[in-house]
Amino acid sequence: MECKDEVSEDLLVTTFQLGEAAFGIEARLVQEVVKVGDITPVHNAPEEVVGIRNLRGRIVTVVDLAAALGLGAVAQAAESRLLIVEWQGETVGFLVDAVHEAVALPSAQIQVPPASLSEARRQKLRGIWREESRLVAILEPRTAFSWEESQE
Amino acid sequence: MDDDLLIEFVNESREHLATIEADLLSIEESGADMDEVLVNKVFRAAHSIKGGSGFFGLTRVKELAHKAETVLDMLRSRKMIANAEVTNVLLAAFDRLRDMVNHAAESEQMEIADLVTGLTQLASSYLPAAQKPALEAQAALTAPGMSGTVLIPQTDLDRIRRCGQYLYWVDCDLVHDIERQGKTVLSLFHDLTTQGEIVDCVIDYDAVGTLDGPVGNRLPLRLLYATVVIPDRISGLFDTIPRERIHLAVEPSPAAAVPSAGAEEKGPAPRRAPRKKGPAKAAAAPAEEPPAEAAAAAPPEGPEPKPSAAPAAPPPAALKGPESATHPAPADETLRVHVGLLETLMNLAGELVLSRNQLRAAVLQNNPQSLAAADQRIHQVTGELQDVIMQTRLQPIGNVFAKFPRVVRDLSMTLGKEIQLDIQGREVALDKTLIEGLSDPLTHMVRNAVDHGIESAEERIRAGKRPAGAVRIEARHEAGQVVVEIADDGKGIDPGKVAAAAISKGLITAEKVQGLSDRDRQALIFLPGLSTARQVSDISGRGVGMDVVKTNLDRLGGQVEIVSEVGRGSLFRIKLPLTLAIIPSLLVSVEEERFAIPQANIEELLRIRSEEVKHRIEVVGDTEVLLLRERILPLIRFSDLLGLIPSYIDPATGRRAPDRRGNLADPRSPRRALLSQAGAASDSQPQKHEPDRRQSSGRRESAASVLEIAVVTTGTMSYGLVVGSFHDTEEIVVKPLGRRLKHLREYSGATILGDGTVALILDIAGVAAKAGLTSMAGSARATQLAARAEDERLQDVLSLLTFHNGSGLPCALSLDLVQRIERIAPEQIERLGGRRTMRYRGGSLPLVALSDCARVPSVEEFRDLAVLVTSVNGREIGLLGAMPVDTVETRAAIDAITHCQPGIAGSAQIHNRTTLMVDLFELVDVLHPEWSEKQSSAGKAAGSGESRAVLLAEDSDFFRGQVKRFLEEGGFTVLDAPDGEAAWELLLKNLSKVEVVVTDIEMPRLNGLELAARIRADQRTSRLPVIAVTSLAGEEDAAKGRSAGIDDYQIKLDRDRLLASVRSYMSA
Repeated sequence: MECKDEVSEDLLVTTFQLGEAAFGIEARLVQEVVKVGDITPVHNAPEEVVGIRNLRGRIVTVVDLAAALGLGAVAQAAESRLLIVEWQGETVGFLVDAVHEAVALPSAQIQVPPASLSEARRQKLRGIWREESRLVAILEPRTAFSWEESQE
Repeated sequence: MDDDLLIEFVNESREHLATIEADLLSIEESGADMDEVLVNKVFRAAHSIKGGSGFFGLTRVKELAHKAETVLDMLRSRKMIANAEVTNVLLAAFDRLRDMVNHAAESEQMEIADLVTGLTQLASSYLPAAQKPALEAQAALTAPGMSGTVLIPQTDLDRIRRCGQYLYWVDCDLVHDIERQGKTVLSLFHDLTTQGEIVDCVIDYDAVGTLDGPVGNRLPLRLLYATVVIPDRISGLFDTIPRERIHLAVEPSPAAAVPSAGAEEKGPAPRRAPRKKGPAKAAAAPAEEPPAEAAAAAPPEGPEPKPSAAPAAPPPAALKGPESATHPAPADETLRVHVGLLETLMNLAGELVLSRNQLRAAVLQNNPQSLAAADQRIHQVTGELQDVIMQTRLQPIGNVFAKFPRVVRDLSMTLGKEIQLDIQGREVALDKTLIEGLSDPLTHMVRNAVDHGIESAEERIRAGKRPAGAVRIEARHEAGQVVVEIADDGKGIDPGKVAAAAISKGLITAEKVQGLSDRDRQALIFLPGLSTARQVSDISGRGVGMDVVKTNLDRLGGQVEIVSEVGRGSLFRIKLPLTLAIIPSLLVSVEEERFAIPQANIEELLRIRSEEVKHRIEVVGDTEVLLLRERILPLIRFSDLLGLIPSYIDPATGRRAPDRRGNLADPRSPRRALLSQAGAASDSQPQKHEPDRRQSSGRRESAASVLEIAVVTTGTMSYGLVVGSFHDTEEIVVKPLGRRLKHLREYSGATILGDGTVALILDIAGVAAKAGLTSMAGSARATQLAARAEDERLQDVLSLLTFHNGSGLPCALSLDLVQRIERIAPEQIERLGGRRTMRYRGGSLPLVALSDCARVPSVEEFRDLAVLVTSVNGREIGLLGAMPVDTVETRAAIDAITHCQPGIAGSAQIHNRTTLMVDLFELVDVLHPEWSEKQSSAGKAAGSGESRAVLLAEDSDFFRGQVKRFLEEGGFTVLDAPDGEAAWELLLKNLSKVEVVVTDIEMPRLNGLELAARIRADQRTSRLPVIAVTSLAGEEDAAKGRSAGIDDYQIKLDRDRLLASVRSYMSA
């Protein structure tokens, strides 16, 4: 239903790199992009949590987005960045390998995730955008960022 | 649906609900002489909840609110009186409403049938039979231009018509008439309810899908609106909605139009008489109009006539304590703040900006003087800012107290007690977090006071007290802390009873109790597991014991003490810090990471040098303990807990070895083992605030040469936390952790340090839990250790009487079997017919020697003989042995094979010598077969052959063999198992055969107490007698056993008594 509303509109997407693949999320969700900075590890935390970080006086949980999506882990390097996302009332820093750009994608060009992906993967995607050789998987925040309280 | 709107609705409903409880209680108190303003207020609250919930599709909320409204309407029209029953039902209904509103998202799944039925029955019981069906009936209304009908309760329709109200359909458009006009649905509702009431509202989703307008541009909302405003004037109420979209649905009943009818009926007037209605109407029904006018005049949170009315701030439901955090109610996130405070904050923020500009200028100019001035100014402003912000978090404790009148009322009613509640100090302000956390423990304590503290009226009169009990709740400031007291003038806490309960539960040993003062004994009620029968009662139970109260208070940094005198009453005094958001903390580092430990949790800081480690730290079982003066404290190595360093287990000893890497003598290491906090901090500070912590590996090594231990306490439990090194104490600002980390109990939050990095704050209780130290036991671990020693005693200790036989061969006999020891000379032995006897107590005592039966050297070569007088098969008999005779307690394992022969059950290593265990019964059986035959035939006669089986559970092969043989010789069939679990399986296979269970206490897998409990719990076996056999039975064990369902205790090797016991249970 939502998608239909936006038939003619462009979707502004922030694209970033996780491993070999390019991903995107709606740019309006991204408050800022910061360098990884000084992260305090939190022992006994869930695997995808890298630690916590001070972001101008706020404590931000840093989550390895690759780990959260079940795609391995981000190897921190010079290009690594945190996507600061406000999600469900909480500010979270998602660690990614690199942040590329914000692009306006015509909604019509966004295709449904291919059926060849596993159901769990597909659930986390809002769609796929292809342009020539480029392929950007656009994340569905509701599933990609969600975290069950019961999860240990 | 729009989340913001829902939140607004929830907030508004909570405000309505906040005062209802107090209002209902006042209404009940005034009985027939009720205050109509108050009833109207409650009615209005129910009504507006009903209206809003309809809009949000919360059908269950709506239904329940409607039923409550019906009953309230009957109250208002004096068709019923607010007696206890009515109030009970209404209170329950509003409780549920509050729950549902707080968890609006789940409200559709909540069960309301019970309350709906209750309210309906209540209403119908006050109605004449003819009107009863109307309660359930629905009236169908058709909206013009709309498909289908809308059902509204007949009672509503009747009421509207009776009150002379017109019912209109109002067609508005959420998009154009409301949002584009800068309004919200709720504000529209709000406006409309000043002039009438919204009976129902329907969002016409059908209209959305049609093609009559651009998609998403229209969202029609149809309101069913009742008002006395006549059709000619109705458009005046709606400035944005054209008249043609307002249709009259139902006209008032003709009777209501006649002015006298209203007065005659005593029915409620229109709730809000519109000003323009004119004097005629107002004058027409003077008898009933004043309240209606008053209601119109009273603002929603108007003056409350009863002193018990609660302040209108967050409702009690918001204060459910930390547990409610799992159900995030949106409104929990909001806080009421005084406007004055906000203005002060604004001013300070302004000053901060100015100071920042000053600082910038100073930096640019590089002027040290103005830099210093700016620094000072910023320091001052931030300090003030901090204070004011803290104040915004302060809430009156009255928010928690507000629910106690109800709690006490309900409870005293259930219990049939009369109780006067006195509440003082509602205005005392505490941090929001504290207020929330206090709610549960305080409620539990108030319930306890009413349930257990206050006696029944008869008891009170007998004790010479006033029949009405008094409960006092008071809050006050005292020395920078807040003190909350809960006092009752009831029967007090009997230290003896508490101690006895604790002992019988095995929570503490009798010896320990003897050393306790009365006050300490009373404090035993905080021990976990001390649920005396009284505490299990439904009323104050709720599954929470005082230990949980204590744990909750500990978590808040509170302390609780008891002052109680038997017969006079009890006083629980809770001391709390004012705020939790900023706490002085000690910074410590472990490896290269820094952590903060709240100062309130720290008892002392220790530094133990490597050469002292082995004297001060011991391993008990799998735990390291710290010997600190007279205390034994469990030790937690924090780095292990975090998985920072792999555990070092010394392969030679299997012990966990202290970290001795880089075993360098620390030149700075002070001689004293005990440091003051300041001393510790300054001693170990050189690397404090090092910007790159990775370079500080030198510290690791110097730290490794000593153990830095923070002795911490949760209030109930103390332990030593081994950290890397200590730093400063700092005032830190507590910041919550994100959702993904909230479940980690070992951290209470995080804080930002001076250098901008983040440190985790340790939750001392959580760390203990993580490390597997259970709550309470600072005394705790010691108690546990004592219990373990106790277990060992039960498990293995054999009390033996040792003596010598020929050739100095050591022999032993179970001490329990020996009645007396007589020393005799060889000459005193009389020999007749191949049998030995001696004179003993005026008769002759048969004497036997081990050599008579077993192939051992004869004892008679000795001069110095001893006769161990025992009793077998009811006859006294003496066993000859040689001195020295001694008693030993041993845990040595008994070898039942190597030395086994007739008369010898086995052997054990005692004092490094192989000692033969004499099997007295076998010995006597061999030497005097005629004695035992009688017995065993008696046994067989008592039993009826094969079917009389005894189930024997015993893990020691030796004892199992022994006891099995006793029983078999006694004529029983024996099924034996090496542990409780196997015994249980065996029992289930032989349900029809087994008549008595004989079990050891200490066994692997399932011990005897657990086995007994399982047997008792299972219907098939619940009546089976269970006899426990131990090597030594003490009173405490017996008590523990009885509570698990054990019928009798016997000593393992006392064959006669054991057989007698089995026989008696078998014939029973």
